[in-house]
Amino acid sequence: MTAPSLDVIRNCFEGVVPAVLATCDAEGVPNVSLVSQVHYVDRGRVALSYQFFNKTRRNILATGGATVSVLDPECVTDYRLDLTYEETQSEGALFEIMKAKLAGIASHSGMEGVFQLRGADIFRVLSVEVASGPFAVPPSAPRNLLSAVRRSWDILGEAREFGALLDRTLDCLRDCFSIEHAMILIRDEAAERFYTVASTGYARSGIGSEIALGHGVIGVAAREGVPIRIGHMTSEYSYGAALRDQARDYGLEAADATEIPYPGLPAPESQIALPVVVAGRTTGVLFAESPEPMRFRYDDEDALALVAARLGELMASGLDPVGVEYGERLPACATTQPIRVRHYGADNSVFIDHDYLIKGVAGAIFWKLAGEHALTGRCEFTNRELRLDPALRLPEFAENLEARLVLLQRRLVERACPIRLEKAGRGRLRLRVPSTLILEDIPAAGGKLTA
Amino acid sequence: MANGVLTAELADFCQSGISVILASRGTAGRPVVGRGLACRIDAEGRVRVIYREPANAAFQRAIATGAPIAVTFTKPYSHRSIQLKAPRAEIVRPAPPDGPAAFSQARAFRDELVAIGYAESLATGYTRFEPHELAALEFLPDRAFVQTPGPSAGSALSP
Repeated sequence: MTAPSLDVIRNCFEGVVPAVLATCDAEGVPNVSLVSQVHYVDRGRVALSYQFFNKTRRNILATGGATVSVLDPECVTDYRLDLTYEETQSEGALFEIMKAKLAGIASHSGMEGVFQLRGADIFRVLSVEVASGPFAVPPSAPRNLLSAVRRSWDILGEAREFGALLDRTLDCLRDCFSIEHAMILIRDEAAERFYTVASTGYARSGIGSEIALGHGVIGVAAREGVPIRIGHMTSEYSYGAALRDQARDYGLEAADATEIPYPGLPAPESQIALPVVVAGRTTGVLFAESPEPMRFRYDDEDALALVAARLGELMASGLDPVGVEYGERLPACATTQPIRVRHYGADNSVFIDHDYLIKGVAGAIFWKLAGEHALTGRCEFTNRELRLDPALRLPEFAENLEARLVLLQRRLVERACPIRLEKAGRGRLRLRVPSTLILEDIPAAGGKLTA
Repeated sequence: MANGVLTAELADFCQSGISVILASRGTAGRPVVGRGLACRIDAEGRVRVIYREPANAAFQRAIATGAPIAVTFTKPYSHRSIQLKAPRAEIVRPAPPDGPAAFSQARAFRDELVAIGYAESLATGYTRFEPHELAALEFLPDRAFVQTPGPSAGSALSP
């Protein structure tokens, strides 16, 4: 039998079954142990998790040789891989990918707190042999991922506005990949956070909720610029833990009126977060989750990485931010009561008739539009004037303007606000205001502006 | 027990129908790996490992050349593990009690895998064997180590 290429036996590397690792010391005395994680690095290399400085570890450093037996849990085929040690990485993308996966494995096997990744030991694979099996017929694939990517590719290409592009991406995840729970987050450069701009499958949309860079599956994927995937629920990467870490890093801020609750599943088993790269920078994160364990495999990750890449490419293609209409149409007989808009300069938060709307750059944009409207009666604005307005302090990477306008438009609809934002033509926006605006500005005490 | 490495409790543990994994040293000093099915330990503390010959050809060749052996026994439910080592092992003809031992221990192991949540197809496939595939080896362990995951893994066991 021809030796299989590593990328066709990736099922063995999901951590479902422990692998068997044999090493020898310098005197040739063998050692054998179960290892919880053999990770697929590329077609010629795997990585083992270094957790304890034990006999196995000493042998690897002394001789560089190892042999591992890995099992495909579906067809029950036993493969033997001959390995030569190359290097250990104790930080960076590969380390974080393995750390997240190990946290899931540890939690699943009752070893949370025992398994802790100290390094990713990388090995070159010298040979792959089938030792026994297959002993079971693998279940037929629930979907054709290549076909799902191709359909998504076409569907995304038909989007004419930024907001529609985000929605189509989530529709594709649902219709082509059967992923019921997903969201897209966009980077806020100044605050080093990611805010939710579109979601599907949750009781509340969570649009506007935030995750800090480096926290949880989403934050780590964003920081490292690589997909992060977990197959079993683990408290280490839960949203609760992410919130706790954020509180620690940013000072204990009590939940305030401007905090929008994160929409995620209460008890996800599987999660995957994929960076969305625009012009070489991680600008967003495509995130999906499931109550089913091991929902996202290596092949799902590859397929979704292509969808995320397509999304990133189209995000940079100069689409108009919002469409003519979004959400439910307002009743024709709109309110004639004046609308009170309060703006806090400290964080650019905006309240409409005492209800929180949005803060940060999106809040500043709204405040500018509302101010102009109240002062001059203007309803139409160009994207260009927003981009160039020094008062908005838009980040240098202005591709995020579209995302902020989408965020603002969606929050207006979600809050059932009588004011609406819509497309007025190529590169132009219209603010629809059904009655008089009463504006109230609370300037920042220290003049500090946060995005 | 007679050789002073194993206690009766450890011997019972090893024969209770759990994971049996094997290693030896092959050509050019490289490690070889194997998977066992069951084990029988006599009153002298001599350990007999029963394994599937076709799945462990390289391992068996290494043992046949007089290379040393390491065997780790692990109970999936508790993760408790011990490793036995010996400077050599002997390939022996399968004896009549080997078949029933392999059958009952593989069955117990399969049931435990299912009980802790592994798919039945996986547990059954992993522990299956044909009687004609069975092979056996024997060795007298000269050292035993704690192998349960954690910082104490690798420390010597003294009865």
